[in-house]
Amino acid sequence: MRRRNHRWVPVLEGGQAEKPAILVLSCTGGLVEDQVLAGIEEEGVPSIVERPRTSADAMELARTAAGRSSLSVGVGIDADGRVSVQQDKLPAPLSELASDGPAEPTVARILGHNAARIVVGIPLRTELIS
Amino acid sequence: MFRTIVGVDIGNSTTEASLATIGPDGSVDYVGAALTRTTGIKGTVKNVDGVAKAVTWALEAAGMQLADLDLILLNEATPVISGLAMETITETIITESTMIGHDPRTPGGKGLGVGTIVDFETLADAEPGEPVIVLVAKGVDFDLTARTINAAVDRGVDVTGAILCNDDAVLVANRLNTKIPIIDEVSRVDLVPKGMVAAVEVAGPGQSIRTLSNAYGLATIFGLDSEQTKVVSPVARALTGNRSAVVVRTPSGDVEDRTIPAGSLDLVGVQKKATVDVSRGAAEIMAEVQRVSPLVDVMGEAGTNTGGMIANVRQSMADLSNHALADVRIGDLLAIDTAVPQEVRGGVAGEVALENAVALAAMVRTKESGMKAVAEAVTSHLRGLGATKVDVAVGGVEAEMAVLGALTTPGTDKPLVVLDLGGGSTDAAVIETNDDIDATHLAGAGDLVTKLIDAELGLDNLELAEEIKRCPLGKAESFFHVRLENGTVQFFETPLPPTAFARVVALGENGMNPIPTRHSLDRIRTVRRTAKERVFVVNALRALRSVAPGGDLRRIGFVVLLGGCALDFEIPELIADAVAPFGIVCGTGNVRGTEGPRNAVASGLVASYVASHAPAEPQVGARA
Repeated sequence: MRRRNHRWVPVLEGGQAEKPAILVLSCTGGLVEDQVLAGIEEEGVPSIVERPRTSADAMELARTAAGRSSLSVGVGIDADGRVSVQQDKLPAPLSELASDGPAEPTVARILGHNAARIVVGIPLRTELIS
Repeated sequence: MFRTIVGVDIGNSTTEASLATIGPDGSVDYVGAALTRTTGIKGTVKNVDGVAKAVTWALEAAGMQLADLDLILLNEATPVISGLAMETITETIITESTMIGHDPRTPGGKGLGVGTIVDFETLADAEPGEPVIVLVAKGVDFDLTARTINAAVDRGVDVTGAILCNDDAVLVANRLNTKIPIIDEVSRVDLVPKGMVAAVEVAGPGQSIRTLSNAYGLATIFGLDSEQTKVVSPVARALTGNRSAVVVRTPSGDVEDRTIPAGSLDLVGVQKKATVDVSRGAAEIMAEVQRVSPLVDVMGEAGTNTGGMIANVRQSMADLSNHALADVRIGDLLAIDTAVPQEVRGGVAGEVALENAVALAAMVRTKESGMKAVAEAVTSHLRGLGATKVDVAVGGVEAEMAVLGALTTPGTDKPLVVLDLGGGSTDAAVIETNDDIDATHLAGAGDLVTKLIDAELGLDNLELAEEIKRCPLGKAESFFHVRLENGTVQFFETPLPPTAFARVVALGENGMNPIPTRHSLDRIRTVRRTAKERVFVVNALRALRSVAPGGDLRRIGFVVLLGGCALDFEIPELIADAVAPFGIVCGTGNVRGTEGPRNAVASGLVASYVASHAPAEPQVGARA
């Protein structure tokens, strides 16, 4: 029987597998994006930023990003500045891994840390998770 | 004529009932058992509600009515209560912030930097060629930090290291043109003295610092003489094992490793007396306790920590038992050495040092229990509920009843020792071949284990400590699986909460409790097991020595473990391992072959009543 969910490993030109990185789908650049990327970088995890041309919300972007990310973790930042972190295997977005509305810089930073920490497997920063 | 009787054991935490019918020939049929939470403090009239509940449930289980009940037997409660106290006897004080023995998760760069501490704002004024360490306050952007440092280096300033308040070390290090050690998450950056010479060290991944954790390394950097090296050696010791550290040299700065005058204990025995200094440690205290035993009372030296501890215990016991303070006499003492993490006074980043502490559990004999009053209250309450013909009697001494109940465990025989592992005290009773019964009560049990776990892990949360004591540990390795402490894996269909992700969790019956510390699973497991060993194994051996015929453990045949802690998943095996060399059969009791370590006293009450009242040959235990 053929496996229906077979996924192709993304391959760059030259036949090399895509390098491991968290995929950040961000509709807008700026402070929020910088803070998310800073959080990921401080934890020592590589990231790639793409600027999609959709009006999808943060949750949807994060879901798409997680599906495409070679590390199975994606971050979505929508036009309003809302931030959501997703892991490929999570069935539904966790409310603790997204900002309530447009993200404050500190929240964006923590979500960046947490995206990276999910990859490396260390306890998440829970200061703002209540 | 059948008689329907129920034995009721009112314990510190649970009330247990054992229902039996007695045939005309004196044969006993156990028909029901029940267990509920004790209401109120043991031995007070408030117990009535719990007793009524346990009795009613036991009757329901057997399909009987309250009106069928003839007799309720209550236990004469063990006349002891116990209390706990813990005091640290050493403390580390940093004067003028000499040391930041700080271990942020993600320091930046690598290596050792020595220089004068300058504020970030004044870095632009620094002279070229001058070795400096930059101190960056909270809220300064990492890009700006990196650009300013790069600019200073380009001007020829020798920037050798950086101390940050934000969690930015890796970000700054990635943006610098030169590689310098950077420490971040220094919360009280305002306390770091400026203009002083400091050293910053960051070790590579997986490594720990070498120079600042070495007394001679510090002496070399700061040019110390032998006397000064002696003074800073506690600094070096405190930094051992860290991945990063800062040491600042201030003119009068100092790290003190102070021993708090702990005071002494006066142990008064029946014939002997002893005075022992608490700072000499638990082993010496316990040796003295054993030498002067049986204890009559214990006094603490006035005006010291020990004095305060003993006074606390005494006061809480007086409150609990309604005795005058002068009538409270400590009948047993268990001292345990422990090391508790305490925040260093004068630290700048919430540094923690392990301090020595002594935990004391004390047991006090109470004058009498209020069981007579409880019996009367139970009578009137149950008659009101419809048990028209019921009588209530205080049936027998708890320890003796426990032995009789324990003897119904399949595979046991006299001489037999019962170890009742409770919450407050460890009680032991022995029945010899000639039916002589002897009992002893020792301070220290389950509550002390909880307290030790709480203190040693620095949790400050007794509920969580209790959970750690009672449940196996696991580590959430992903959102969907937990690796248990024995290496097996448990999967979950719904994702675990983010608070549990990658944390050590205690796996309770009602889900898992994340343990919010950086302790590893192995460390928490070790703390849990050693706490149990230091309380229960030590007390088991003390108890057995005091009740064994001639003090010889080899003359004890069987040890039956009873009480709530006998249900623990590892305490019985720890005790069994400890007594195995003496050829003792030791295991968790199984009262009447069905009840496990529960219901021994309640069953013993029934058995004892039957043995003394039945017309025919009495039968102890269950009928085949």
